[in-house]
Amino acid sequence: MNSLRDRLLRLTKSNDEQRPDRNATASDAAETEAEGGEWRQLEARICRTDGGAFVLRRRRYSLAGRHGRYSLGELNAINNRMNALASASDRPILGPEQLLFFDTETTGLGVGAGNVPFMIGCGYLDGHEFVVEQLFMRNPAEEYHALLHLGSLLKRFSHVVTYNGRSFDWPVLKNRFVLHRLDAPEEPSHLDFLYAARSLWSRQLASCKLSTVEQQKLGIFRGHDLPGSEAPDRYRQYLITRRARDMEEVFLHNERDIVTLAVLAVHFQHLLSGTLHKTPDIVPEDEVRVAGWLDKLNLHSLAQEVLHAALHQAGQLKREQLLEAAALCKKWHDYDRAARLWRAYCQRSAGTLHALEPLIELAMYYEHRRRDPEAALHWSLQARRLLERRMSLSRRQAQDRALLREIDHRLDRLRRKIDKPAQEMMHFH
Amino acid sequence: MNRLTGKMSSMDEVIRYIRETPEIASNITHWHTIPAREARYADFPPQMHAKLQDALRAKGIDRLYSHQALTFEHAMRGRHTVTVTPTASGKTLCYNLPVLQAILEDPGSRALYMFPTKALSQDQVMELQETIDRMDVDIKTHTYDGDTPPTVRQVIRNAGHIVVTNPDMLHSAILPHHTKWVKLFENLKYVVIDEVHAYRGVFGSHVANVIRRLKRICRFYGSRPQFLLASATIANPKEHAERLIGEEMVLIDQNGAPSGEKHIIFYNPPVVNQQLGIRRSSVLETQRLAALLLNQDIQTIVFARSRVRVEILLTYIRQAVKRSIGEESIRGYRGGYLPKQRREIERGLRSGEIKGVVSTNALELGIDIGQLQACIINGYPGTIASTWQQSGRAGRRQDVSVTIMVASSNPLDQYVVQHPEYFFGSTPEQALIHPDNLIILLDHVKCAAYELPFERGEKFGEERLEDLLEFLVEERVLHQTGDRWYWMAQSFPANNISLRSAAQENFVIIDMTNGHRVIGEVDRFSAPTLIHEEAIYIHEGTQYQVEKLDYDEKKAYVREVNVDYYTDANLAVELKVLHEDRSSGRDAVTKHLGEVTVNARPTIFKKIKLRTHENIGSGPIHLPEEELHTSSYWISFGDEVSGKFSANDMQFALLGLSNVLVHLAPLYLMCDPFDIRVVPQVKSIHTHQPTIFFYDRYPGGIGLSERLYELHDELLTQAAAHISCCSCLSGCPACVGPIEEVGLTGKELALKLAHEAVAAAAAAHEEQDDRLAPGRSGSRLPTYEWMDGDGE
Repeated sequence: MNSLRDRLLRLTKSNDEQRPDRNATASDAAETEAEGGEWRQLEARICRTDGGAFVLRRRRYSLAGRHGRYSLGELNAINNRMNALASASDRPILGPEQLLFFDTETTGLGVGAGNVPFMIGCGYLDGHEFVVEQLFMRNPAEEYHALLHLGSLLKRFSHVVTYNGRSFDWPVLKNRFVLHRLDAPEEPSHLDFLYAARSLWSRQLASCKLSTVEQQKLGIFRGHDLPGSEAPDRYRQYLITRRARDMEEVFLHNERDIVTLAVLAVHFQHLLSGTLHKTPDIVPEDEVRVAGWLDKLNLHSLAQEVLHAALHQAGQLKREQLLEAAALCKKWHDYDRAARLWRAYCQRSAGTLHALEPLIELAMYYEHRRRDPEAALHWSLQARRLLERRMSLSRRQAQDRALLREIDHRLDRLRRKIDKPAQEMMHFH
Repeated sequence: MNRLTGKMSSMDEVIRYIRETPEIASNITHWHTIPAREARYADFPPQMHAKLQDALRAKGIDRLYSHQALTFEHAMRGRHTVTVTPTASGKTLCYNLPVLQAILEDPGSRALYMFPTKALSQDQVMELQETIDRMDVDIKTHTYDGDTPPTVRQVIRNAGHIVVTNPDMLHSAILPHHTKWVKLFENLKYVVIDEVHAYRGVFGSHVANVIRRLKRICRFYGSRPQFLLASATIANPKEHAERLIGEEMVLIDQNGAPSGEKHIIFYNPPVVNQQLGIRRSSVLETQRLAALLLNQDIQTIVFARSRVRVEILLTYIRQAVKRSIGEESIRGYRGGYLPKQRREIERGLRSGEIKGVVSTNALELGIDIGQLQACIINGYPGTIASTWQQSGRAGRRQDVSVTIMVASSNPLDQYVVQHPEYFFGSTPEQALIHPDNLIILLDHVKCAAYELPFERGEKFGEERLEDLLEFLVEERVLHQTGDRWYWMAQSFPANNISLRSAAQENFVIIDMTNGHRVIGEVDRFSAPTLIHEEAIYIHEGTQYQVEKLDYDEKKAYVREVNVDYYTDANLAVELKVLHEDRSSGRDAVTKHLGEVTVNARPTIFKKIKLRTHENIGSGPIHLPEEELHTSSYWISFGDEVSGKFSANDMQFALLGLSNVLVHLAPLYLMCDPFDIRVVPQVKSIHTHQPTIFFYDRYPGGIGLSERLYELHDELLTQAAAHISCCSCLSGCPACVGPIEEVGLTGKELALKLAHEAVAAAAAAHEEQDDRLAPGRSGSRLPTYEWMDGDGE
């Protein structure tokens, strides 16, 4: 023991008992050819390149096999509709063979220079198969060669499909290229499904984690799976033990993520081409949300189609969904349909302290669209009654008082409008 | 003087008044006048870019001060420079000129500016931008700090020519993300570091390591920037800069800027009790003097040593000038005020709207508040350098200015005020840093490994890097493959490492008088003694009582009160020796250097009445103990010496001597007096002898104890001289401590012990000299001119 180490131990007050036994750590020098055999058990092999090596696992999936609701063969249906999920400035997607599905496992969090992606998972269509290719570095020195391999792979595709890759996986990888003084690959066009998933499901699902989405929306159940957050610890464990099987679960987890990404692409393709609502297992409330999402993506006619289909079974919609649907109809200037939905909402909510908004919307609708001041008066009075009840219970007095003044203002105006024709009649006589 | 209003018409008249009013003049121990000085100019260097010359002319500058021209020339020759100049001498041009020149010559060039604080960065960008606008060229200057919006950050990374930041940002945001700053690091031509003297002690040691990391990243991207440094006056600017940067520097210290006549007055409050050596309170004297100046409409800055002192003085001075210029024109300024409030005060001072400010050394740094006319320093700031810095706040280029240093009764103050030769005769202190403090070094090795894997043969600091790396491998922070060490932990190391001790762990102070409102903050080390429950916390002159201290959440809840006392807390300290590295001396007196653990626990607090300062009550403090592991220097006295004292006498002697030593120590270490602490033990567990321990108040030590170990002889000689020079009869707060603490014979005993120690040191020297140079004998005690005289 050197004295510097003694001082360090005293100063950092590390607990000696917890100190890992150095001798248990196999050194890199002890790596032998026998290891190649270990990797073969994981269906991986050591990929040797000029002056370097890394572990490569390539697994091929038949396109016929089902993964939850879909088969990977449906990837072939992907067409230019997918462009709706890319930035307007990106290159257009021409076909599914241009997509590289992509996910990394890293040693830490954040996108600082020291965060190392020790496993890079890629997936792509290859003729009649879907290939998952995983690059794994047995130590950080192998990264350089793995990156070279990745660089040449990336050149074959126009788009990368990721889950949060735009702000995490890609910047982290870019750092690695810079750190190795390699020319960073040209920024690919991104299809980052996290954004789409959030705008579709953030209010509906407990979280928009890929594992939640795949269960709830894709019908994929993994059974036992290593949580992604434990992957870094597994890797650190592996660096000490150097047993390939310590990485087995990480390989599996990453591979499943890639497959799920592909299946999610199929799902989005369906949503974007309007082919999903015809399947029996989708409930109308989902369709309202999908319609709203399509509307945001500027696919208006498809959005209307989806919404109208949902409204065939309006009875099955939740009350809030009626309002969402009404707001969409109003946006599309389909006021009559919107009014029907607001009325349906009010009917169903009768007797409860429900939202004030549909009552006011109805008042506006009858006053300005239908020019029926008496009906408008009816809804305004309803609104006033509801607001009074709410004010007697709530503390947000200031806001509510402003609302009340607005309603009273409307009531005055409506009463004048109703009285006015009567006065004119009198003059006439 | 105008007889009706009592107003004096000029500064000269005020100075005459001070000189001729006996109540004031009789307390003045020294009056030093620095005559006005003419400027020394140099023509624009011929190689200076035409656009740059034009821009300067447009601003009304048609030649440079000599130091500006010299720095420019050295920079052009590719040297690293450190320019030492006082406040208001146009030092920013020293570094701006070479930087702008480089960018004009090659628009691809980049520069990085580093200032110790955010506020300074912002001032700087404004000034640079003015010059750039005058040149009408496309040079982009940006501040990059915690307040920079994310959208702008991207632009700065790619297109900013000059990035202005602070060490904390460099440490936690720029270096760990260097891959996003490729353009900057590949083309980095200059690194400008201003206020270099501020980078000392723990903070400086951290910053030196951040610079090691910066240079490492630059090497990776193939750039080798030149460093342009600027510093206030310190004893060792060249050596300090070289330690900080790790490169050979050229020193430019001939200031060419003009200055007006300057009066520096040492003021010692009169003795009110000869027996006990008690003087009038320096706070009250400061209040009187400040009121005198402020009432004459002289813009004045008052410096005080502590935050509490600032608040007390603010209250007093406001009262004194309430009728004449109004309370609102006097403001407080210290760490713990919120940034917005500080900016407002700085603006007010520049515009003249604010007449007076009471500040801690927070305003010592180059924050732009314009030049004031007068400066009063309440209590010796601890170092010569700091005193000059504070005094530099007063004095415009043309006008007469005055600085009054009001001594408090502590020994260091009394020493300085009675020995002005010491202050005016010696060079300012050295700035000490210890970049190889193991804890600090290890922290930055981690950060560096995160930024870039280490390679065998690389150097980082003076310790054996490979041992450190191996240690981190054992800790599973790094992973070694072949000749490289890679970061392997999940965390982001810079997040857990703060360059300013405890800066990250500030306690916020929440005023609950009207709803909840954050009014300030206190660092972790000060929290136990400043904001324990029932403490009176003073903020901008208002008193608050701490009702609840949430130690885990780091929050103190306070409520406004109006009481006539303030509080002062006691700390119980326990010290154990862990390891002894070195020792020397003979049996009688030996000195040692080693490592210790110190356990500190606040015990009680006292309530002290305002103005009379009498103790009117006390209460317990219930807070967890703090443990500190640090380096220590100790002096132990063998039987030969201790046999001459009774056990009881020894206790008083030790206490008295340590009181003197701990106050004198900061004279040699450019450190805050709180950075070095002392603990006397009558029978130490480690040495079994009477022992005085000094320790660095920072984990791992920052080299202070080590320096004291080297200064052992000198320190003891000075202590003996100081005790015998003190005019008190038998001990006072200015030497060994008040009689209540050290007993009636405390002074005599401490002096006896000091003489024993000095004699032992002399004997040891003689022995050594005899060995080294046979035939030569006699004492080689260091002597000082001032030891003969007795001041005024």
